[in-house]
Amino acid sequence: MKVSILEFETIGLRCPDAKVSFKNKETGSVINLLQMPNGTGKTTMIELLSGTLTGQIENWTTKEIKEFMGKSNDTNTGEFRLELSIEESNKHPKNISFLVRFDFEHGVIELFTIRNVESGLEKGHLPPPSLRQFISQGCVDVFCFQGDKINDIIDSQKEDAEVTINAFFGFDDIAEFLVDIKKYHRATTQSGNPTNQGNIDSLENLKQSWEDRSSVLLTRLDEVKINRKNNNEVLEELEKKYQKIITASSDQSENQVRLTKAKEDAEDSIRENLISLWDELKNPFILSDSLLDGLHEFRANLEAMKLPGGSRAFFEELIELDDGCICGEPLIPARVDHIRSKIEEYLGTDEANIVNAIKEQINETYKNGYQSKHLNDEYTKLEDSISTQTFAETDLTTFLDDIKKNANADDKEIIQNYGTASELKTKIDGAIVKLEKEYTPDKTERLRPSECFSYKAAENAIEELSIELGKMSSRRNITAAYELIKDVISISKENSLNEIKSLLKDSTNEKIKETLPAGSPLEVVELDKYLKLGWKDTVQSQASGAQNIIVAYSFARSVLEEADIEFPLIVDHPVANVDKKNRRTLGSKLGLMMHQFIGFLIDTEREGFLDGVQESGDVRYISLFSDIEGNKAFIDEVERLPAEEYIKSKNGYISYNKDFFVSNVMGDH
Amino acid sequence: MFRWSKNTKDWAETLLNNKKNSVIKIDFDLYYLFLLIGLGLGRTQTLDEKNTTDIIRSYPTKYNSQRHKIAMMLIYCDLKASGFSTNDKNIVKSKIEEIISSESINLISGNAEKLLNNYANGGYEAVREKMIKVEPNDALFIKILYEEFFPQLFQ
Repeated sequence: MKVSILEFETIGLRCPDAKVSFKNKETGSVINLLQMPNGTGKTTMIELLSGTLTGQIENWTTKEIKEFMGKSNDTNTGEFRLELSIEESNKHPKNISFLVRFDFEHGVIELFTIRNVESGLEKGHLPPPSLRQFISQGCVDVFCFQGDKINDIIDSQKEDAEVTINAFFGFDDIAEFLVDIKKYHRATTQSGNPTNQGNIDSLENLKQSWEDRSSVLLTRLDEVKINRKNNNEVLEELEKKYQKIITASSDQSENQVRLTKAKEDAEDSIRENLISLWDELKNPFILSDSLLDGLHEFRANLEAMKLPGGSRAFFEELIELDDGCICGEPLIPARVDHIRSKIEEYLGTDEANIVNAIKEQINETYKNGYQSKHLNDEYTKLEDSISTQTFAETDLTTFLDDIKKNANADDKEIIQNYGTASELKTKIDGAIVKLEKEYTPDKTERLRPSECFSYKAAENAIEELSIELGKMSSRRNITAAYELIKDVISISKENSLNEIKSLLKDSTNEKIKETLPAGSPLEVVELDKYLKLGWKDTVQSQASGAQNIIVAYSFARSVLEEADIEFPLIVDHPVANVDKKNRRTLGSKLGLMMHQFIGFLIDTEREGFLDGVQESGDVRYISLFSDIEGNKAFIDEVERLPAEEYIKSKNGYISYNKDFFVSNVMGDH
Repeated sequence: MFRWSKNTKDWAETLLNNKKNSVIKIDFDLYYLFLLIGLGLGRTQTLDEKNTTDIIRSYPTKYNSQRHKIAMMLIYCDLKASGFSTNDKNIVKSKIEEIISSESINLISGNAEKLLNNYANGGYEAVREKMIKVEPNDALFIKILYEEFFPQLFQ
């Protein structure tokens, strides 16, 4: 299935009224670049696109809806229309539209679907069934994202790669199904008759306490997540202002980049050296030379003592068979007695096998010439990188302190607030980790729900108690069936997830290879919660901006391909973190990557990238801006074009003229 | 069953909460470090059964290949710590029989698991004497352990 965006239209919203048409072709790819001055409503448009595609727009709060009202709107109503083309194999493409009507006075929206001319407006979000599974929020985030979110799939602190896979390949549905059967089990066993009243009452009470606790913790988690969202927004704004203070002086800006890079490099080096040391520590025999020497000597002692030598079972069998000794002599009673008296000196067969395996491992370690010096060398590397990082951090702190010292009062306040918001972020993140900590309370902890601070642990305690209660009731057959089905589904899910991850890893690597210059030493070494990058099994913590983008796009394409669906890739500032040379390369490769690309471009991305995309193939250049005094230069310029080259709406202009796009730079970074 | 004291778990909380970006990804990783130190110093500390909590029933997958080595370390180090000769066949055989169990997935008997837990607990106590509050950063934590303990282990 191939899905393309044909156009969208906005009326009365927080962006100019406009109908934006995107180019699309039956075969081959096409690139649509959209530029808008800051504050024109780029984020608004991306949020509308995403919310309408997923249908999540119906869940927006009154406050959120009201925030979408255009400043010059005097009707208290608005509209957003999105038209898609859907092409299923061996069928003609079909168009489908979604229409969102805003009532700003009451803060409500109505969503309609127009499946075809005959059906007309139908209330609700009614995508074709075959598309429905691919336009959940988790899926749409794969092809509709902000450029700076690219790093999330390779960020070890995030789990975006796995979240994507879960969404696209139905694992979210399986997880939901497991929750449903868990709820069913809890409800069914609750209604069963107890077969043993003994402890049931106290267990029921305990389970209720855990349910209350879980509910409190979940509410707390929701609150903390809202705080995180709010604080992140504040932090993002403050960070921009903070960066402006630093970049006020070009020297300082360069210094900051240099010092930050030195600190990040040192942190990467610590991670690499720590992983190497940790790998070495996994072999306990090499912790000290005297240990290995001692073990080797001990092994020799075992040999000398003939331990395990032979196994007790061998001699027992020899007596049992009564077919003479292995030396050919008959086994007379005196000899049998002698063997019986000695048999205790030998180990059982299984124990003997284990001891032999251990002896082999000692021998192997010893023969390989391992020495604790090697471990010490790894430690020294770690120690050095920690020192380097400490110096780099001190340099950066001193630099930032100097900036703060020399700043004016307003800037000082911004820096102060930035620091406070950053500290708050750390605290909030810590609180979330605690609330989401995965473990099952043990028997003692299970008696004290009020001391638990993780809702996941609370849920696990409820689960265990439900199973115990189920086993004590007349519904124990349901509990047994529940445990079985839960295990079967969980194990199958885990296995399938691992298989898909392996497939996606290979497919992503193929695409990376196609796109990066030949011989580039970069690949996905491991795909787990996130993509671990590196080369030949060696992990590196980060790649360059351009490489990260290629990895992210390659991963997105692999996911879509594996799911047998094509979507347009919609990206806000697609190459913001890429240097000029690589912007050109990346631009020229875009055509290879997807059938329809929609990029919201900012000024600093143009150089190099515009040259590159021209090489890539079919490009549509779209400029959109509001009819306001600040855009006078653009308005004058666009109105010089022939009338058919631009469209003026009630409060804005849109032009598809390439020369206008190239010569008018919009969207300051 | 690998177990440790609740005090250990509480003490290590901030380090264990940093698991995502750390080499110490699971509780057993930390238990393993304590075990190396306990065995290396020949120090055991009996776990108070009332105050213990389970870590994991059997070795995590990534430690499976170390099962034989850890069993041997326990035999060897416990013989040394008890002052027994490693040349006496009866003593060594009896120790092997006490420790090794082919019926256990961990290759060691239930009593040997308890002994192993006591060594890990001894390791934890030794670490806590040097580090009243746990260092939450994994790199710094391992650096401190290395500096404070590793040169004297198994000497």
